[in-house]
Amino acid sequence: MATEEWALPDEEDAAYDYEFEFDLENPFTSPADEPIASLLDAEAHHAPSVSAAASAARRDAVAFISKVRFSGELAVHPRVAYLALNYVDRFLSKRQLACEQQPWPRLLALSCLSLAAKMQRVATFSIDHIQRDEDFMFDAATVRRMERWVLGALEWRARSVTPFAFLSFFLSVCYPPPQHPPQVAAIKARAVDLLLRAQPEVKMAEFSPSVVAASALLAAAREVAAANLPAFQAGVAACPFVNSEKLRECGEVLAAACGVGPGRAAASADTPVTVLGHHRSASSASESDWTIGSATNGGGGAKKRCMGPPSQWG
Amino acid sequence: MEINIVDKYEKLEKVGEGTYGKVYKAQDKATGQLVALKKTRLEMDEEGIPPTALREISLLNLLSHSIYVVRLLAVEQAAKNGKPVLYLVFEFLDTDLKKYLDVYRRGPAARPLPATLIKNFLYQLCKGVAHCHGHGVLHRDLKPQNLLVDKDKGILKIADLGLGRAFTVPMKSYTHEIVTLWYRAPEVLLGATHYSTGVDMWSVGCIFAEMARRQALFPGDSELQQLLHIFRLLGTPSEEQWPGVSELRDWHEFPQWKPQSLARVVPTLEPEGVDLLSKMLQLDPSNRISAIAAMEHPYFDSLDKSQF
Repeated sequence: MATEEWALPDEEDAAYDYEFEFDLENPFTSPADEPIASLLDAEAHHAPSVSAAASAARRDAVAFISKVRFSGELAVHPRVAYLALNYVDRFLSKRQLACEQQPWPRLLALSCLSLAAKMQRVATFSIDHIQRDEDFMFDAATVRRMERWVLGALEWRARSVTPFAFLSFFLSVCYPPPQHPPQVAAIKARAVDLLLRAQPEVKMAEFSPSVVAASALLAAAREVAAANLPAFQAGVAACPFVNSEKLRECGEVLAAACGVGPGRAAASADTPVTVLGHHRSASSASESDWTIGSATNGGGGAKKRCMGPPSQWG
Repeated sequence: MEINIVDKYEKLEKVGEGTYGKVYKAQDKATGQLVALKKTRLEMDEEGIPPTALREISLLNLLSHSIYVVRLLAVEQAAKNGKPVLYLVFEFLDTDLKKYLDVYRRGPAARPLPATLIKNFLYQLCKGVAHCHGHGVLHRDLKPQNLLVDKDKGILKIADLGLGRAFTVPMKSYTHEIVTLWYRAPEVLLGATHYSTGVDMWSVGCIFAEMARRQALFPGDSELQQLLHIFRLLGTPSEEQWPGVSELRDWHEFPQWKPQSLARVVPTLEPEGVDLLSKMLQLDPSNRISAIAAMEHPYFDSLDKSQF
């Protein structure tokens, strides 16, 4: 399931094998030999706080990122938006904006989008263009100053360790053999989809990136390959660093935020990520013993919240 | 947002003028902690922080979790004459391997390094290099001056990691001082544009030999001389031994030397050590041992690895 048309531009300077690339799925430039230990070590430095996620400034920043993100014309890629919101959350966990009223949260969002674009090599990002519909436009110098302030707050840890970084680990270590590459790829794509959609949900901030990743993958596997779900769940549960209680809670929050879970897979098929909308079958939805999310699936409201741009990101 | 760097740090002395700019020993006024302050020559134009610098510094941040890599403590954004200046703040260590070896090399206390110390340092070096390579990062300029030593704890740490691409033209010193070629791998000297982890392992081999010899293994003073030093000891490579070597940009016909005995240049080194050294000093980079494999070499069997 192709939810993204994401391709990095070709490396202009082909003379060098290593150019300090950054990829959400691999914060360390290339596949690491011992990634999981490093990632677990690092994730604590990268998790936003719950109070920051609940702030008014965050809500307004989310609204702006969401508007930009779903406006095809502005062409901000989902992963740039994702990383930008991660920066917003981490910034607000460390600092307070002097003024929580607009346009300051927008300035924060703008700076974070700019930084996220630099990390992911999006050369076409234009500060002027992206805020052209706003009544007040920030000049480049102000945005650059804000960028530096944001980086200071992040302590220059711009290689965010997000749930994306744990996807490959869980799939390679915990997914039951035999692993069919197309099936595993489909699960991963669906998990990415869910992660992108769930990120704005305030309650997601309560969970560590690794737990969020595991929850998204289990939810995805439930839809894509339900027969393998019990073995996959058992594999994830066997990871010593996965707290099963947190995993269950996170699964519920994720399901509610994305409108998925038993009997809901069909409703979730149209994601904001795929603007064109892939209509997917719900065949896997009812035949599973997956219980996460059944208690708190707040009806159609939760589903609708994830259905489209732009206000739903609040 | 921008600080005045002298408000936060007391500059104590200039400790180096390396490839990447001036380095000061300084003290954090708030905590008293000694730090190494590196002023970068980063240019911030209307585009703000350059993307490469952003990606590179953030990578340094992730990597400096290993105790075998000099820790990046902070990145300070200061202002000088209204222009933003970036300082990298590293933990301070009192000596480097070059200065450390000097004590053994000459003067009243000149003597061979204890064999266990060489083994211990080499293992830590391999561990640090394995950490970098495991995360996709090449050092590219490993040399004794870039290996800092904590004498009290007996710890060796890699410094100046990766600081190259965003800050300078690689391999050129901005102060025009002579950049040492002694640890440079043959493929780099021959103008290879695509090189990999082997460049660092070559340097590790040179450093290993230097600890055993107390003097540099290949002290060349030009790129050509450097290659001649290498070929004189290890033999001039042929296309059979090193497929593709004659395609490299700076390849030309060299005098034909036969390989010499490696044990003769490191006479005090035990046979297992010579074997490991020979695996590090393979001319063809694809034959060179990796850092992670080196750590498993029998040379280290007598070392208590649990201490690391």
